[in-house]
Amino acid sequence: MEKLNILIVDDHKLFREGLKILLKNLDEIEEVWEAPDGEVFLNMIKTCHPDLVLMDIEMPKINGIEATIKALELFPDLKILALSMYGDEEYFQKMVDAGVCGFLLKNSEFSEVKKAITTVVQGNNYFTEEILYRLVNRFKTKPSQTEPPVTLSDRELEVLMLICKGLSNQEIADQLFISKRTVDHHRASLLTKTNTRNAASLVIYAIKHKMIEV
Amino acid sequence: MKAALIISIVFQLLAAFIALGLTRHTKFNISWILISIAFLLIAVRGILDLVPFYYKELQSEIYLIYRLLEILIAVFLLAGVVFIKQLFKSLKRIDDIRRESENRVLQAIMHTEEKERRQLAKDLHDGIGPILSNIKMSVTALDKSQITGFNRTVIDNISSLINESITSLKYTSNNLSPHILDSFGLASAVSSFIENINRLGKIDVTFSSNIENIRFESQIETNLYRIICELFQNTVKHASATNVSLLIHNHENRLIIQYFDDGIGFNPKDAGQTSGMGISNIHSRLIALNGEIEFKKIMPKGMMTSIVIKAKTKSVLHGKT
Repeated sequence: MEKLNILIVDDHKLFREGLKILLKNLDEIEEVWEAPDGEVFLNMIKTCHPDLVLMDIEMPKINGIEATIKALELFPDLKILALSMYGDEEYFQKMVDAGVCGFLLKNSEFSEVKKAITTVVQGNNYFTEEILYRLVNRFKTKPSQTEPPVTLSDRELEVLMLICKGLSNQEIADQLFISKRTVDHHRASLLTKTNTRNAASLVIYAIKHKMIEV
Repeated sequence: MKAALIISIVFQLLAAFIALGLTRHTKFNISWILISIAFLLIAVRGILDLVPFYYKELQSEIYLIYRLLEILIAVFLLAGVVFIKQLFKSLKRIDDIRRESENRVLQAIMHTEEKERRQLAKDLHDGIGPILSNIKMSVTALDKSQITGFNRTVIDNISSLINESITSLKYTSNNLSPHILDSFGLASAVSSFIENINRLGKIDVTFSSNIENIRFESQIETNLYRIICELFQNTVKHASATNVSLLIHNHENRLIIQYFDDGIGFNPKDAGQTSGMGISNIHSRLIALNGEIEFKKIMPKGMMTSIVIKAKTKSVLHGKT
């Protein structure tokens, strides 16, 4: 595997530098760049091409939500992992809607940071368990959604579970003993049926409608 | 007879001077001038009463002047009383203005307090929070297989201390001022607060509202949030309730809050005196919001609190999935 270039976007200098030291020590990481806010970040990605962006949410000038939306308009394949102090549903929802591939809390252990980076770089989603747990609890206390969940076939439900577990299409195919193309097909039909944009919003949809247990 | 008349004249003159003296103290001095004149005229009438004792032949002329004086006295007294009525009106207006300015001072105090709290919460959460997070990441990045014995115990201790400080920092900052209220509004903040209460498992809370995507003035949101927290705290501390239901309804520029718990309840008449700081805090917040509150005991058990305030919607968020 090629070595990774990572860009940390965070307005907290000490946090940025501390994380940089930790990341640079890892064998799989080549270079760690820093941006203090969304504006600098948007300028930087025009010249450097990071394999992964670690994005804070609350920042001066351009915040993480806006920066993510704008960056993905320019580079739709850019992988952005939200790294926030706040684990509230509202932030989570906004970042997922903006198009991040994962969501991590700043108070995570370093092993989780490594795991999240690896998972997202491989093309999967990573959501920290703390947030998923909170999300499930939140929807338990909220009155049920007004629109009924769509009906899914058993196979689609199986695929949905595995997507929520963060597996890639190939891994799902291996686990269910079906071809990757069939999985692609199921994934596409899940997105259409639930009217969601990407796997991350699909996961939220599944949690909201209590289709999966976390 | 003569002596009695003279004494009454003296008293009437005295009354006239006192009334005249009042003109200096009050705004509507015209009323006191009129009344003073009336008293003077009464005194003059008294003097006229004395005339027949000395000049009996003038009796018919005096009778005419006497009637004229009586009419004048009546007119002056009437006018004076009318102006006194205005004086009271103006006193009431001054009272209203005073109350309004007290209200404004109260609002300013609360506003400043909230602003300071918010700043402090932000400084703690955004300033110290990331540093603690980074310490945690760094400590957990250590290769523990190479650390043994006493050093390992120390590292483990540091880890648990850091976790504890992160938790208490979050708790403190959230108690000072919940960032979610500032960023996402009342419904989100109340939901988050209820989530924490439900997690404790002591009481079961149901919450419904129609303000999910609506924002109000920050002063309204903050005060209502604090009032709702206070109501919950009362229930948790004193009511021995098992169920709470909360409704926040926005209708035609009014916010209606209905809070019900199935606890032992309290006497609404005592609210504000015996129930400690909680209820009086709620009252002063409602004064600042120009709102109304009603506590009602529900039979066989429980308490219903209804709050109504005028609240114009500041903004409505769209497009939330």
